[in-house]
Amino acid sequence: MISHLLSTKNLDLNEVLEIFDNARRFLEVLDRPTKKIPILKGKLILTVFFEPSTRTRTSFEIAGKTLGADVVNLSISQSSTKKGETIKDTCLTLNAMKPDCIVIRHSVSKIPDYITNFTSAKIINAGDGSNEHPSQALLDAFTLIQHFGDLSGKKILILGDVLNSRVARSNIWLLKKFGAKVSLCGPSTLVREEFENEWDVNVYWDLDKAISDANAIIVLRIQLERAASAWIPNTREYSIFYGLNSKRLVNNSSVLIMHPGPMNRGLEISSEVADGDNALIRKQVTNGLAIRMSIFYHLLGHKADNIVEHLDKNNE
Amino acid sequence: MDKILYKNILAYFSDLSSKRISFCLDSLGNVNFLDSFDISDYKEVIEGEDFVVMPLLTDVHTHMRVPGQEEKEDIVSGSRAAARGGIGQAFTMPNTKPVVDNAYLVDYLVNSVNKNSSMKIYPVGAVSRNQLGEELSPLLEMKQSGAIAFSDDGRPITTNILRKALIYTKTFDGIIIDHPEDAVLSDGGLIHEGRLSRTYGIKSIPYTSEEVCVARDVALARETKSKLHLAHLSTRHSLKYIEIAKEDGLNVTSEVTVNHLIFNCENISIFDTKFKVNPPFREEEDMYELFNALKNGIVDIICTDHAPHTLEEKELDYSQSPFGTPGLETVFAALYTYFVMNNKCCLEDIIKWMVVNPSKIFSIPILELQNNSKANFFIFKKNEEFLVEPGMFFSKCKLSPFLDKKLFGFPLATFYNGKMIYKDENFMKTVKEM
Repeated sequence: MISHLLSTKNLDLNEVLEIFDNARRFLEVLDRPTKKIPILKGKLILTVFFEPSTRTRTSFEIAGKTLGADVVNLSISQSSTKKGETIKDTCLTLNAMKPDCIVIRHSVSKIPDYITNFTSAKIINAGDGSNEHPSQALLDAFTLIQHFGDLSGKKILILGDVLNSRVARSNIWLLKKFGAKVSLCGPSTLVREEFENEWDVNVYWDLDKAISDANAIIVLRIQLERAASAWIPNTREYSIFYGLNSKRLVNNSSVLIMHPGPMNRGLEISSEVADGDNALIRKQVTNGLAIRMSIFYHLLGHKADNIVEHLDKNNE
Repeated sequence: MDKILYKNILAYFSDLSSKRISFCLDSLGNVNFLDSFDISDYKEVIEGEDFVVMPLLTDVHTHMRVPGQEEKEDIVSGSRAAARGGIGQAFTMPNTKPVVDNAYLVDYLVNSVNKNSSMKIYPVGAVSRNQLGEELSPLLEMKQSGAIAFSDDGRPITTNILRKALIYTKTFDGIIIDHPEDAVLSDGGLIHEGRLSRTYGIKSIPYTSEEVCVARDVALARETKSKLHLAHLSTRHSLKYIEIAKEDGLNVTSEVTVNHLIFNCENISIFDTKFKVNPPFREEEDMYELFNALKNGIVDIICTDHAPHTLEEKELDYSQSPFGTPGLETVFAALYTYFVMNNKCCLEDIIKWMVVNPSKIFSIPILELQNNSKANFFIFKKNEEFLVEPGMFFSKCKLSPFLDKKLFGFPLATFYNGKMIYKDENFMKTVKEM
């Protein structure tokens, strides 16, 4: 069993299925009038974000609070860390406040792994540089399984800035564990030819070809504030050749559409597609809560406690 | 008489010969070869099949951090580290604070600093003022004060300045050393661009960052016919330009660090700051090809690129920690362990790469065992194994990439100009500690 959630690479499939099973139970809690099962009462969760984030942090916060944990949010601007304190000292300081869990986002790959050396809290990687975003991948896979039942042999296309995407990496490692056939599409600067052999995926630079037999498409955000902009001439050109719109989907109208958000409507995805019947984008957000509750329970819950008893006891 | 007899010891020389020889070392550091001897005349006798005497090594690429960064290294710690590694002469790079870009600072290093050094320091002067790549430094004046060569090491020489400098050095037959890197292509990269950088989404340094600069440098060396030395090569892709340059008779020489012959991005922990160096450790094939290039004479010299930093700096996370790792103490032991003991090269090769070629290229003396002369040599014992641990480092930076590894061939004693500048505590027990 994992002691931190740093990556999807080292996750055992049975462990993932256990997280999914519990997420299904937690999903039901979210529809209750009283959304609270204090299974993590007395636990302290810190969310420490060195990069701005609204949705991911809010999702972790609601997930923790729904389970009765105390959640404290810290935003640490990276400019202030540059003034003096090292990430090591920041973590040692936070650790002295006795958190049970630290949810961290940082602009540098592998920083969450690094801080496990300086804290006894469970670490959840909420995004490290261009490396991984494992809770996003878990909620994506969970959402896909809700629809397909089994991912074995399913063709999942990841479209966009794979080079700089932590969502893409975590998804690729995880979806392959389920036997899904992963393909990547984008311009050759953002979807490098080396990915094909190194990651055992299919690489497409032609969007129409990539879409033709896909069962689901995960559209990535073009992060204008990040390196992506340096690897494409301009957003207009990107949008023309790699933007997902309904015309592109004429020959594959059943394909499911996902997006980790926040979307650049009209850039990587058209409103028609984002709001269409096949879009699971809102479902992803709700599933994200359940998955994050399940992750907290997995890392912090007393395994002796029966989750079903808790669910029954607090169902008023 | 405090004389020590070295009895029937295997000694290697810079003409690449070797022979068993007996010699006496007196308390003033004088060496006398002996045909016959009476053991009772000597205070201690060093004898044994496994002892080997070697010429003092030259390190053409060292950062002593003097002046201005003595928290990282100073001349006492740095020169003792060199002595511990069997090095008698070292070139110090000018990227200090302030930059060594004028005759006054060169003179300070040659005279004042050298006085506190246990071995010989040769300063390299900056090619451009403050290493900004905008205007030439006073190369001729620095040369007169004793600068051995010129480099903007730490960064590449800008194209315009490199061309001017190469033409200008004809005046006094100087040598320019370039750090071949296209900073635009490196673009803040942290590790070699390859499988690992792609897997973890880490900012990376492509091999072409070095290759395009080597190509540029060779083109300018061809145009000017001047002497150009390329520092710390890291990728096999740079070698073809140097091979052609040599075939065409250009004055182009080059070096590789010992670490780049041993480590690659797959056999290290890339997030361990002990392995964060620039140029980065690249691929296994690069390691092999660089070594083959030494064997084939395409690359001339092995250096350390000893680049010490403080513990506080190296403790930072891998993205913030500075590039550089110490190398003076371990250079010979690493070469001996990884290459000589594995029959990939012989001691004569190491003498070629770290004694003879530096002497030829930079016109500096060879320091080796000679009859009726002051002692200049180091001695090691084959098959004597050392566990590399922080305590054995004289450098202020003890975070060696070889920590916790077992190496053979560490020098047991080093003599420079008749003076014992390093001695292992278990060797020559009758001789007082330094």
